[in-house]
Amino acid sequence: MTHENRKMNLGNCLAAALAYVATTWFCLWLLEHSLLDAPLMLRTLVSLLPVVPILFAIRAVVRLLLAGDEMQRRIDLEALAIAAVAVGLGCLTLSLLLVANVIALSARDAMRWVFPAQWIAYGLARIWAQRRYQ
Amino acid sequence: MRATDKRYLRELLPSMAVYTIVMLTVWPLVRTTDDVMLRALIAMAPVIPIGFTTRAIIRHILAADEMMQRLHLEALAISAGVVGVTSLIGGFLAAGEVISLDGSILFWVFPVLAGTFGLARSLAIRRCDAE
Repeated sequence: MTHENRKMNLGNCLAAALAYVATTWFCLWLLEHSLLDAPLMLRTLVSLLPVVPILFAIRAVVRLLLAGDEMQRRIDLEALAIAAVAVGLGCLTLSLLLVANVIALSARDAMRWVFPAQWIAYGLARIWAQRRYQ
Repeated sequence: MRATDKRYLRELLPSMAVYTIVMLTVWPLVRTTDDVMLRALIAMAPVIPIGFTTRAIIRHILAADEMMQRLHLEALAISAGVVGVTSLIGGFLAAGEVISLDGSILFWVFPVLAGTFGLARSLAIRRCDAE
């Protein structure tokens, strides 16, 4: 992948992430204020709006992964796999603590954090995998 | 059966059996204690055998050839994406009070991840065979 292409893909990732933050903030504000008593269908549509920039972000990241060389792709896939397992086990642990009334967490917070947690775990696992191959 | 497959079964089956035993005998004790620390320890007990199950699966994947490893990793990456986006959709629908869920929904993340992984793996292997 050329330096320009990589820069463009990184730019797309960043733009999608910023769009996600802005859309989430705006939609939550709408749902808590202007659309508090709106019809269910409208609330559903507004609730799902932040998923659109997320899909663009995923597309940009997948392009970035596919454009890398064999070694980079391997590192990315390993990091993604480690992140998936770590977050899956983390969710299982949290759910068991929730059911046992040790901690309290709403579904809204719990589910909204799964995806960001996957990205954070992916970032950390990627640093580890990169170091391991060096 | 290959030696690695035998090792896989030797590691997987006992950990699954221990998980079942823990869920049936230890976990119900969580309701009988008021001490938060003890309750937390009992609540997290099933994570230990699940950790061993995960270790067995990872060792099995790492013992496979380059192509199978690639297919497994791709399938895991796809399942992570699907679970992540689905969770996000659920989270936003709960935030918008369109659906009502409680935090214990997190329990389903790991099983759904495993189920999607199995499905993505079968599709990847089929795609690979067709090529």
